[in-house]
Amino acid sequence: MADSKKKTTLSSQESTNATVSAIRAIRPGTKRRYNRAQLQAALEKVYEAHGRGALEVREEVERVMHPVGMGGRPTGLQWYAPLTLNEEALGEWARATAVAFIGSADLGKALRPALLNWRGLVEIFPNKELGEVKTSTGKVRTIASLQQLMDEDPRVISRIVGAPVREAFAAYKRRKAIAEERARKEQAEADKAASLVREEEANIAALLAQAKAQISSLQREARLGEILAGYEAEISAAQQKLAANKAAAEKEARAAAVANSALLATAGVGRIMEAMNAGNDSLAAAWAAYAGAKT
Amino acid sequence: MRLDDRLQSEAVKESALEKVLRGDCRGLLKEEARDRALEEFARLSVEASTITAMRKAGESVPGFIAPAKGAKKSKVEAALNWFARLHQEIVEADL
Repeated sequence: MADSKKKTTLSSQESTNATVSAIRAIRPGTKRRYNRAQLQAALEKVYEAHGRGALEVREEVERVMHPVGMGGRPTGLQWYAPLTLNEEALGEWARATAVAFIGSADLGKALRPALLNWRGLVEIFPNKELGEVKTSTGKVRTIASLQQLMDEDPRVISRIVGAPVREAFAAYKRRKAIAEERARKEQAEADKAASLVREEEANIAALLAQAKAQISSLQREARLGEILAGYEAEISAAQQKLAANKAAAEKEARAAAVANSALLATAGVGRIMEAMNAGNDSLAAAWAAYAGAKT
Repeated sequence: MRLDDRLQSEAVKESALEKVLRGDCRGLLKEEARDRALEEFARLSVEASTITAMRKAGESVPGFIAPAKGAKKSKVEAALNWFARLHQEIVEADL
């Protein structure tokens, strides 16, 4: 029974080979078409060329090619594309990245273009925008393979990679602004702390200066006291004499005020004229003011 | 008939000398007040060449304590200019 099964399988295989040979015989120019498993194996070679496992390479490629995180939020600085919004430059960058990715693997002559044209390889660009793209000629086409992407006009490629780059660029600017704001706040806090220290130092210096001034003042007073000790009698006599002089002046001034009041009380038109005729202008003015105030 | 001007501020003007000699004489530590007091003192004292004239002039000088009879001329002169000497000492002490 087992032998019969084996026979059946072999006959099926033989039949397939025969069909392929027959087709080649009919169309000798037809190239051999790789199946999915073969292309997958070739892709594994590409991964091996990178020296890491398939999962690691996939993650790295995703990180490089796709700046938008799983939650749709940009991963910002993890984007390795040039930080530019120049579309031509972005297109060139995308092309160079794809070439470097495939070019680093040791693949067969026929396998390389097959891999480049394999629609499944486009999966390395997990980018929503890889769908329909409007080209420079106005047609709408689908990016079906890496080769097509590489053959495209840089402006078209830039439409594919441009949006995530712009998103990453915005995120970069936003993060830069946040970092600058944080740095500004830290600087302001540091300045404030330094200012407090300076203020404290200034207060201490002011207190020291005040204390020094007080000491100096006390020293000066003490020295003055020593000098004045030899003049006590003179000072005492002078104080008495000056006080007496002041009292006498005040007494005279009070008497003069009384006399002036009495003199002013005699104010009248005749007295004003009399004073003016005598050339005593100040008395005439005082009398006139007095008479005016009285009326 | 004239108005008596002794009521005016000049008549009872505060003495710079009195100001610096007030209390414990701390006003002497102020250079400007000290110099004004010296000017006032110079106005009050009169230059005299003889001992008699010096004693006579001293009667109107505040703080003049006449030395005993027979004192030398320099002593009388020093007594007459006592504030000038005090001022000089303070200046030399750099106060």
